[in-house]
Amino acid sequence: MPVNSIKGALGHTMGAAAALEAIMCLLAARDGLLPPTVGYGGAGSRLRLDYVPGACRVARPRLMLSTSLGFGGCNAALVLEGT
Amino acid sequence: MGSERSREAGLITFDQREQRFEASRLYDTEVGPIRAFRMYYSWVAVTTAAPGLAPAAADAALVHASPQPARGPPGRRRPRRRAAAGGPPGSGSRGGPARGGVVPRRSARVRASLVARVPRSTPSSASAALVGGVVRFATLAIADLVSTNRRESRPERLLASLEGDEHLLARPLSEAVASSRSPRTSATGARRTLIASRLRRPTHVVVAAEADPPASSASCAAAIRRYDSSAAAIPAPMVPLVGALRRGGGRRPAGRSRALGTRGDVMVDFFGAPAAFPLGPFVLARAAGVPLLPAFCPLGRDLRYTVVIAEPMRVAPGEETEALGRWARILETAVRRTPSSGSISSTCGARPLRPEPVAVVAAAGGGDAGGPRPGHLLVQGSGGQRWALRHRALPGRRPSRGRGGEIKKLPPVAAGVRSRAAALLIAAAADLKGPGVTRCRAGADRGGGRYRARRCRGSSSTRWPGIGSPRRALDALYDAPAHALAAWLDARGPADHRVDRLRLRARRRSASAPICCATGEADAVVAGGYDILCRFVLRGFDALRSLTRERVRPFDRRRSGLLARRGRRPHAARPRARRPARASGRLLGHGSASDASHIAAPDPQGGGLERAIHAALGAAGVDAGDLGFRQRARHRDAAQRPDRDGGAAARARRSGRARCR
Repeated sequence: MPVNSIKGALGHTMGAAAALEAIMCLLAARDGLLPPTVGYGGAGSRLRLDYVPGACRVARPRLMLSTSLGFGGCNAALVLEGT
Repeated sequence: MGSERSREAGLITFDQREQRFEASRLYDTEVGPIRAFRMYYSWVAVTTAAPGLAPAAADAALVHASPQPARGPPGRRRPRRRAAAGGPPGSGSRGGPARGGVVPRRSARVRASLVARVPRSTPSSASAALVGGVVRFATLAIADLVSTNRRESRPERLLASLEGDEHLLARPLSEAVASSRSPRTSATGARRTLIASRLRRPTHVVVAAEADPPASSASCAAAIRRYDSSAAAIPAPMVPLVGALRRGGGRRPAGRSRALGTRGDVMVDFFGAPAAFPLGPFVLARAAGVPLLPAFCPLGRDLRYTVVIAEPMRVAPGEETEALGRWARILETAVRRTPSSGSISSTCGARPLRPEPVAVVAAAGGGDAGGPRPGHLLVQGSGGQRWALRHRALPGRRPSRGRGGEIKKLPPVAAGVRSRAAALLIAAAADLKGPGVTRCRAGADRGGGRYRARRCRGSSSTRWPGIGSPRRALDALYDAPAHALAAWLDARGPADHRVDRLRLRARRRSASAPICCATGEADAVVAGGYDILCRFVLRGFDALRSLTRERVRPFDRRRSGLLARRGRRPHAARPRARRPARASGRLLGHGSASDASHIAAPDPQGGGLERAIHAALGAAGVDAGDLGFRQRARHRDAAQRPDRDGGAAARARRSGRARCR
């Protein structure tokens, strides 16, 4: 499963970050492109994930999961479906 | 704001090695930093020196600050006119509580609380006056907390008197101070925080103890011993203790402070009716083995505060609830003395919090974040309903900025708005008044919107001492920007602005929008998230050691720095049936969870995120294995470790082979 983050490209927009990321998921499904994780320099652990480094990837996912972490140990997740 | 410039840096530091926060110094503060910190961490407590203590024990007293103002501050509803009429502000002179609005709801709660507790023989006029007094004083007290409008050249003038200061020198407390353990003053309400900050006492901010772990556990005991041994070197001894208490359990605790909501509240008899009070301070007192000092700050008719300190209480193991009951009796005594001081208001609304309708929650910053092209997001409710969620990419305005990224000049669209926060919000959301919102509003009109239009009108003839006008005070409340935006948009629904954790505002607002539509609370919803990039924000990140002077590498193994950017992303949502639109996708499900593991980091095991993912997948009714793409919040804070959430997702994915419910 591809995993990416757009904060490397957009910066950390803090309170608006989660909404931007959710929109990115929808646009990725619409446009058939997964944005790369800009600035990714290698995983910091042994966890093996497909981080989409370097460049956009052509893919049109149907179901997407967008997760966010907040101060205070708050976590949120959205399940999105592209059309 | 001078104290912000000079002293808040380094207020809270994060010990990388110990993976914990420490307040490294005492600092003089005014309300500003506290307000800002509360915006980020709605669960902060404030420690302050109690008057009369020797400097060596200056950090001995703890004022437990209730977060209630952050959840339900009064709104902007022409307080002067109502107050002049003799009724409570916003109490609904039209008969019954008005629809929407925070002040009417608060008034209704106070009234309901009084009905439950005051004999029916009480004349209605006296009851109405009491409700009005409670709400009015609570409004002022909350405004004192979150605003900087009531500036006093000599803050001590706000203190009318101090009663019971002999308890500060009582033997048990002296012994506690001598043994380097911290007696704590427990109180709820904004007024305590006000006194703490306004009187220029040494004040520092700590994370509230929300946990009730097995405090006698070895780790916690060791942490307390470590704290004791190093108390002389640490000017904020409560901080490591609190941190130790927070970390000691490692799982969801049974008791939480009010600061994290009412989940840890205990129902205690209060004036003959059960009311919820936070158990957290009592758990902390028991765990630390220190006395707890009840203190109250009623607000007098002269708008000055009286600090009343009662006899210290000892909390024995297993008797926390009983001690809370004793504290409630003391509070009753205080309330009987000054029933309109606002003390009731902090308890009458103490029933378990429930999600409140949100019709306008959009907020905005300066707006220089890049964004996607316009599109529509189709939202599906739990009952199968679907709505079109329109999102627009706002054109990037680049207002002039000052040092540290603060916006110096606001766009002219916000001219005339005196509140800086509201002006920023309106300026950034100006484009919402374009076609998207216009259409939404038209739909609301056709549907016979439930709510009356509410506009924010200023008043100036009735002046509160030191404030200028009630409007100026209310301008600084948490929900004032949302109300201002609602008025500016001519929105007809309730307006609210919740203080959420960083980065989750937009997500939760987006999730609440369809709920709001589904329950009929609003015909259309504006939701979104924002943050303002200003010096305080940057300094806060600097205190978190998130900034760097080197090249920014936020995603590298040698992570360094933070790429911060200002952004806002409002949505306009409305039922799909009223405006079928081309959609970019559907929101199938959402979930959220809190692990309260750390002030700036998730659970090291990713347990909270795993629960959130499971909840979202369960709500969506899809298998984890069906997911084709995952976006993750890959921008870590200083306290976060890489790939924690990745591990949670992987576990959720593995365990989600079967259908998640």
